[in-house]
Amino acid sequence: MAPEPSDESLVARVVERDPAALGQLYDRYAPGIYAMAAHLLGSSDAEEVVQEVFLRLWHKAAQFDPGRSAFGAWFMAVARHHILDELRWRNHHAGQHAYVAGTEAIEQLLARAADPGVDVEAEAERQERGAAVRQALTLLPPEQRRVLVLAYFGGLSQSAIAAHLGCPLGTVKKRMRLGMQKLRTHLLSVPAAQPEGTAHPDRRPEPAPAPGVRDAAGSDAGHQDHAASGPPTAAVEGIKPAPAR
Amino acid sequence: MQTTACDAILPLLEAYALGAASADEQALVERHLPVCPRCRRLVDEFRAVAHRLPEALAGVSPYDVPPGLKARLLDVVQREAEMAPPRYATPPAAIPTPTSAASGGYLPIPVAWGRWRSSTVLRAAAAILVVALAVTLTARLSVALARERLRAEYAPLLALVDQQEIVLEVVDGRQTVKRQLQPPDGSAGPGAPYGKLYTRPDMPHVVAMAARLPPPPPGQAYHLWVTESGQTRLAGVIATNEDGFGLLVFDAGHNGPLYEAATVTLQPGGATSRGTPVLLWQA
Repeated sequence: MAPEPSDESLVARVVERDPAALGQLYDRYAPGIYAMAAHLLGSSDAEEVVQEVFLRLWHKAAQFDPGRSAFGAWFMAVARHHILDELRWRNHHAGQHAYVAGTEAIEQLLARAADPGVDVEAEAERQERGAAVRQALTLLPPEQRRVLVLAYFGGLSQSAIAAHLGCPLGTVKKRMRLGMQKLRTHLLSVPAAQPEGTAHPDRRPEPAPAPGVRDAAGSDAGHQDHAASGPPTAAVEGIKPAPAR
Repeated sequence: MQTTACDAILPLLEAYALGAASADEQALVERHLPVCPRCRRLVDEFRAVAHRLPEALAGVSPYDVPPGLKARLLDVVQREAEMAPPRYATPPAAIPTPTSAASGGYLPIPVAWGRWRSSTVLRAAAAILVVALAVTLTARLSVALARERLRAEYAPLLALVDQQEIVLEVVDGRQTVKRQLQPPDGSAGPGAPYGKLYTRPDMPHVVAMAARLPPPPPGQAYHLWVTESGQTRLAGVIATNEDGFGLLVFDAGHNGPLYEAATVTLQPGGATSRGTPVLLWQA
């Protein structure tokens, strides 16, 4: 069976106005975008969001630069920005609790997925979409998972998260660092949703995100080791708290 | 070799990749990344990790993508693909209008009520833009309607690519400022009309849209008034379609207009002062 085309080859076809390529990207990314939008904005608006971001991709695919980032990160950043912008626009009088409200259900779902009773390893073996990420989330203590959910899905700054949780800013920074490092360590050894071995060669010469990445990254001793083994707490705590954006 | 700068930057990268760093921290990171490929790669990796979180959510969320959505989306893009050449492959011809000179000679944007009404080309342009923006900005306009109009107005659409680009640039820009217009009574329920006003600090063009507006009575129309530096002026008329969706694109005369208020009124065409407000926003 022919290998699935990479995201980058599909987006190149979208630039050339190939609807089928857009359809394949839709299959890969629409579920995540829709789920995020539905939880934060409601299911009726989520449909609108999905349509808007894919139409935007259709019209602006040429703006994607494969030499600068992976398509998935670029496109999901566009979609997340769109959703959070809509959330802020809608709740600009409602205050922070409006941003947090939708994240609570998300956190509960992800926590349930991380329940040891759920056989996420079996899921990963079946390569069910998102299973690898959910499995990685099992490695996180709930408090680390919570700050990641609040930051990513709620669009909250570290200061805002600290205020919401009622804990010191340094604690939030530490949880966020550790949580992200654990996810990174785990996920870079697990293939992404995108077909294996299809990452853009110009952007990342070494195989990615297959296990080879970690080996290749190992040569980056200073950065990689620092990032993977956890930060010196003093360095994290030493940053002066900055006002929330 | 790891530099001193990296020591200071590394603890910030996770939050930066999540968009959760403070403005000061973000500025520090952004000054460092251009000179440090290794930190850039680390940020790339953290971003890649973060943006897989929705993927995890999709697998456990009760919300599944509606089955018909993909077909509707592809229907629209298929139609566009059949009508238009690959984007940027063939520069579209500029539309010669009197407003071109007024807006710097390159942009056919209606800047005044009289011109807006008198130009057949611009009315056709408005219809097409309504379709394009309706598809991208509101789900209230059905895809079937958009398709029919796109088909019917194929030729003007091709000539409008320039203006579509402008509109999309204003609406989609990273620096875009969006203001929400609401009914004076503050109602914002599912069926309530609403409006949006888009500006960019680096562009003079302004895009205004309104949705769910009832059909105006005979002889009346929806007008957009904007206030800047204490001066209120008529920006133009928002022509609505049968779904109550309307769009207006105008030139503010300078980059990044800083409006203090925007009001959509319902009043007879050609009026020189504000009529009954139906939507408003105030800084």
